[in-house]
Amino acid sequence: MGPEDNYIYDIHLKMRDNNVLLAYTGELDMKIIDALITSVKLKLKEVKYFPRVQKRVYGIMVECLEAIHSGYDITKKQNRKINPFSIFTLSCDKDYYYLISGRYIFNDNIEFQRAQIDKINALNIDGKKQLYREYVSDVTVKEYNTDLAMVDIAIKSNNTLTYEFRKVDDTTSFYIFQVKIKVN
Amino acid sequence: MTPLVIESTDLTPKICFRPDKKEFEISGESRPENVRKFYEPVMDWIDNYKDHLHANKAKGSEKLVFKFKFEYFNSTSAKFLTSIINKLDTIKQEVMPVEIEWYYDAPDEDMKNSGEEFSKMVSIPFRFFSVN
Repeated sequence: MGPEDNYIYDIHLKMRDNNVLLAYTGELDMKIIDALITSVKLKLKEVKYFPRVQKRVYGIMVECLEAIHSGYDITKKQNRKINPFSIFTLSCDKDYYYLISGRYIFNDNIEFQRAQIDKINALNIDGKKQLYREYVSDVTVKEYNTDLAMVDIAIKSNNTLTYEFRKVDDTTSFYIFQVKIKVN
Repeated sequence: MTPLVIESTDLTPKICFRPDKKEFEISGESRPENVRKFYEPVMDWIDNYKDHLHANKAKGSEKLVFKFKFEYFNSTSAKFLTSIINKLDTIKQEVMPVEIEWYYDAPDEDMKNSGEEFSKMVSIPFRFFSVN
């Protein structure tokens, strides 16, 4: 072991200081998503307070992970290849739970993603619920619907959805998405 | 009419539709990997049951009570639950009274809110039950 291995300890310190309950990095498939969901379910059960918030965190986490998976699934269906690396963390402090996800995105998809989130953020809670009813009863969309997932996350978190696109090169960026959920 | 009983898994809810016992219940967690594959037989069964009720001239004075007891369902499942509730609404409008009993864990206000959102989309009366 040498100084080059210090990064492990640094990661540990950062995770400890940020109360990270779960961190995952790598490719995400449905099996891994299930494993992460099961792990968080058990961790949240250990916390005896605020069961209402625990269920909320759980529900939002499922939607966030499925959204990452869906993003890559759509890319595959378009016969486009992108780096499948994803990152997901769940952490907390005395006021909030934080769910942060990251994945690669094609630059030509950024405006769609940005517009989708900005549209939801611009609405008050009644507007979000109205939009939810429209999406959930839209029979033209048969399967997974990111619009519906995003508005569901926004309603349950009752907070502004935050995001950032960090340019990687001329074709791709890294898309970071964060949800805050009030503890009490 | 043949009952429809599907046992629950970690990803899918239990479906228990037994017309002979007047039991109609969906319970558990719903985030199937293939949501369509899971819910299509359920929706088909409800369509067939409506035809069965029509054919047997179900009495308007009777009432069907469907119980929803979810721990969690993801947004994709919500789309299929909307379809199921819409089908029940059609039975109510065309055949006989239908009522939905929506159960939720006492602290889980989000689950109650979800039921309230569904209730706004149909004419079926919803009754809400908090479970400790």
